[in-house]
Amino acid sequence: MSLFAEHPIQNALRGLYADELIDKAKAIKLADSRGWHALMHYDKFLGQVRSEARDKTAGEFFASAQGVTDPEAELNATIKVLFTDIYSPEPARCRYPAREIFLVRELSIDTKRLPVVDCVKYRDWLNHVSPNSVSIVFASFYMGNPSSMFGHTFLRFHNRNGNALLDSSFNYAANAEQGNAIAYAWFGMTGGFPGTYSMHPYYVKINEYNDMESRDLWEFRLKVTDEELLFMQAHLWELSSAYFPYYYLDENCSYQLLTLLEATRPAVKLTSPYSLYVTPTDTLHTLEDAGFLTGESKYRAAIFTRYMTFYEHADGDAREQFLTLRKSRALPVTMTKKDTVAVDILLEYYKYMNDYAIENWLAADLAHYQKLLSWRANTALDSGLEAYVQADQDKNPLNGLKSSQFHLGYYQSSLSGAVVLGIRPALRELQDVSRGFSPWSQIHVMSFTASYLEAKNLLRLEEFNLVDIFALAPWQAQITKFSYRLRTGLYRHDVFSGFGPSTLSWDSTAGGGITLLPFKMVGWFVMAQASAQVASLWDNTIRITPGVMTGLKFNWSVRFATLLSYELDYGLISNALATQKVDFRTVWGFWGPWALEIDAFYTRADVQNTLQEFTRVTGMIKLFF
Amino acid sequence: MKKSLKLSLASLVAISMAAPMAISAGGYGAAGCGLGAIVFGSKPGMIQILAATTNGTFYSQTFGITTGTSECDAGGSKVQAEQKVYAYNNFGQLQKEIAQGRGERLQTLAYLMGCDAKSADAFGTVAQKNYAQIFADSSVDSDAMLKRVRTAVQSDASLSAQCSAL
Repeated sequence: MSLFAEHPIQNALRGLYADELIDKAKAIKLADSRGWHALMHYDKFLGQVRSEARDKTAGEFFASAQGVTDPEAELNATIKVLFTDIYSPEPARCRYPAREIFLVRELSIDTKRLPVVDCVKYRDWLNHVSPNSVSIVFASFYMGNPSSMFGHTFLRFHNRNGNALLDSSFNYAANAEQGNAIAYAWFGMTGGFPGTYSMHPYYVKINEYNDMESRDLWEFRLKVTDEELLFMQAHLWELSSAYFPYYYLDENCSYQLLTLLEATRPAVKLTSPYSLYVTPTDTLHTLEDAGFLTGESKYRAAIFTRYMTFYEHADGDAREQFLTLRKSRALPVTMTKKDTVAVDILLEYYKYMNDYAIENWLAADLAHYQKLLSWRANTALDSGLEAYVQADQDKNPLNGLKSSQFHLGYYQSSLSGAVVLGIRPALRELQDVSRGFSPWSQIHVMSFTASYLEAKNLLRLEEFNLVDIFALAPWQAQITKFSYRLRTGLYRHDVFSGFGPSTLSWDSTAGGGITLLPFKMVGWFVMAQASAQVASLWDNTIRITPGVMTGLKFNWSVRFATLLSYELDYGLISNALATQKVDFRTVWGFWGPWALEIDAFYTRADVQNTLQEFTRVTGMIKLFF
Repeated sequence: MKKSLKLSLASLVAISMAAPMAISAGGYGAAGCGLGAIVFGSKPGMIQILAATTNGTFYSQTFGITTGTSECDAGGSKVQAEQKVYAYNNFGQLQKEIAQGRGERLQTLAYLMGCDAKSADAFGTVAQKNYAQIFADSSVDSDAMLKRVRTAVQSDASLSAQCSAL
C-alpha cells in the first residue's frame, strides 16, 4: 500500500528505466565489481562464487531467488525492485538503502526517477542511532571461557548527544542453541550456527563485558567520512535481514566487521579467502595498517581492574581499614576520607567476587554490601579513586604483537643436534612477549614444530599442540582464584628413546591449582594434574599419569620473561615409573615483532632401576606476523 | 578445499574444546568472538528485557523495548519507557552510584530525565541524600527506584527546574 496515489503507468515507466540501467550495468560489468561483491558478501573460492549471507526469511535479503550464487541475477533483480516494488509494507528502497547508494553512484541514476516511498522504520532507526562517528570496540581476552580467549570485537556508533552509555552497539555473534559442549564446539567449527548482528544500547555491552565477565574494553575510533558512516548504517540495516554461517576460526565477529568495512570502502582489501584464522587483535592491526583508525582510543576498565586500581592507590591506613571491615563485616565508626576510601574499595571487591546477578550473592556479602551502601550515602566525600582508573598502554591490544608466529632455531640434545622450525597460528605462550596481552595466560593453538637432522637426513615432528592453555590467576589483593592448564597434542618423550620405533605420544593433560605472587614480577604456581598418553611407545598403548607441576614465571618486563617449571608424574596402567622434567624458557622481544627464545630441558626416568636421562638446549628466533 | 580442511581441523578442535567447555559450565553460554555468544544465556536480570530485543530486525530490537513489551510496558511516554529500561538494566550499578553520589550511570539517568548537563553534580547529591528513602525496603525494584528518584528530584526546586523529563 502506498501513501502516494499515482497512475499505474508511472510504475511501468520506472520499470523501463530500470531495464535501461540493467543494460548499462551489464555493459560496465557491475555485477563483477568488487563493490557489488563486497556488498552482497560474495566469496570467490577456486572460481566458485557464493555469498556468505543467507536470507533469514526467503526473499528478505536477496532480491533474486538465485542471488546466493548469481551476482548478476541479484544485481538485475535489485535494480528492478528498487524502481517497481512500492506496494509492499517495506518497499525495496527501504530494505536496500546501501545497495541504492551504491547503484546510484555506479550507474549515475537520476534519483528523481526513483519511486517516492516513506521508509518509516528505516528513518526512525537512523534517527535513533544518529551517530557522528563510529568505533570498533575490543573486549579483552577472557580466560574463563575458551570461546572468548582471543577477545571479541563489536561496533559502537557514537550518538550526537554525546551520551556514551546510550550509544548503539552492533554485535555479530552466533546464535547457539545446542547445550552440549561437544556439539557446541563442532557446530562452531563447521558453520553450524547462524551468525547475526544484534543491536543493543552500549550500556548493555559495558555491563556484559566490564561487570559480568570482568573484561577491559578498548575503543578505537574509525576514520570514516560522513558518507561512509551513513553507508555503514545502511548496510547494517540490510544485514539485519540476513544471517551468516558462523565459523569460529575465521568467519567470526572480527571477520564480519572487516567485510562490513570492505563493503563501505571497496577499494580496500581487508580479508583473504585463504586465511584460516582471523583473531580480533589481528583485525585491529589490519584496520590500523589500512588507515581505518584515527589513533584516538578510549578505555573502560573491567571490574577487576577497577578493584585492583582502587586497592593499589589506597594509602596504608585505608587499606588496613578495608581489610578490617572485610574481616569483621562491620561499618566504620568514623566518617573520614580514609573510611570512604576503604568502603569504596570494599564495594568493588564484593562486586568482583560475586556474581553479576545480586540474587546469586553470598548472603553474608550481600547483607554487608547493603549496609555499606547505606553508610556510604551519608558522606558526600569523594574517595578520589576513580581518577586513577586509566588505560595501561602495556595492555592496549594495538601495542601487542600479531597473533601468528614463526620460529627457527637449533637444538643440541643428549641424542643429537638438529635445526628446528615451526609455526604457531595463535596466540601467545606463557613466556612470550606479553605486551598487549596478559603475562599470566597462554593460548597456544595448532602449532607445529619440526626438526631436521642433517646427519641422518631426517625430518621429524617434534611437537604438535592442538591446544595448550595456561590460565594463571595470581592471588593478590585478597583475590583468590583458581589457576588451570589444559593441553592436548602430540609430544615427544625422548627419554624413552630406544623403547620403541617412535617417541611421539598423543597426550592430554588437565591440571588445576593456585598461583602466588611472592614479588610483583614473580608468580609461583603449583598444580595437581593428570595426563592420558596414547602411543605405541607405552606397554599397553595408553598410559595414565597423575602428577604435580610447579613453576615460577618471571616477568622482567613486558618484552622479557622467563618460565621455569618442574613436573613429576607417575605412570599407571603402562610403564609404572616416575618421570621428572625441568623446563626453562626465556623470551626476549628484542626488536619489533622479533624475539629470541632460549630453552633448556631436562628429563629423567627410572626404568627398571636404570636411570635414563635426556637433556636438550634450544635457541630460536621467533617472528610474530 | 578450504572448507574441507577446516572440517578436518574442526573435528580435532571440537574434541579439544570439549574439556575447557565443561570447566566453564557455570551455566553461562559462551560469549564473545567464539563459538558464539548467547549474550544473556543464563544471566538472570538481563533476560526479560533483552529477550524482547534480540529477535527480529534492528527495528524491533530497538523499539520493541520502548513500545510496550511485557516488562517494559511503561504506559507512558517514550522517554519514560527508556528510563524504565535503563533503570532495569543498570539497577545494581545505579544503587551503588546513588550511595556514592556520583558516577557515569547516574549521570546518564540524569540525562534521561532531561536534566541539564550542568546539573549532573546536583542530581548526584540529591539522589545520594535521598538514598535512605529510595532504598527504604529491600524489595525495591527498578521501577520503584525510578519513581522515588523522580520524586526526590521534583522536591528539589532548583534541580527540578533544570530537568525537563521527570
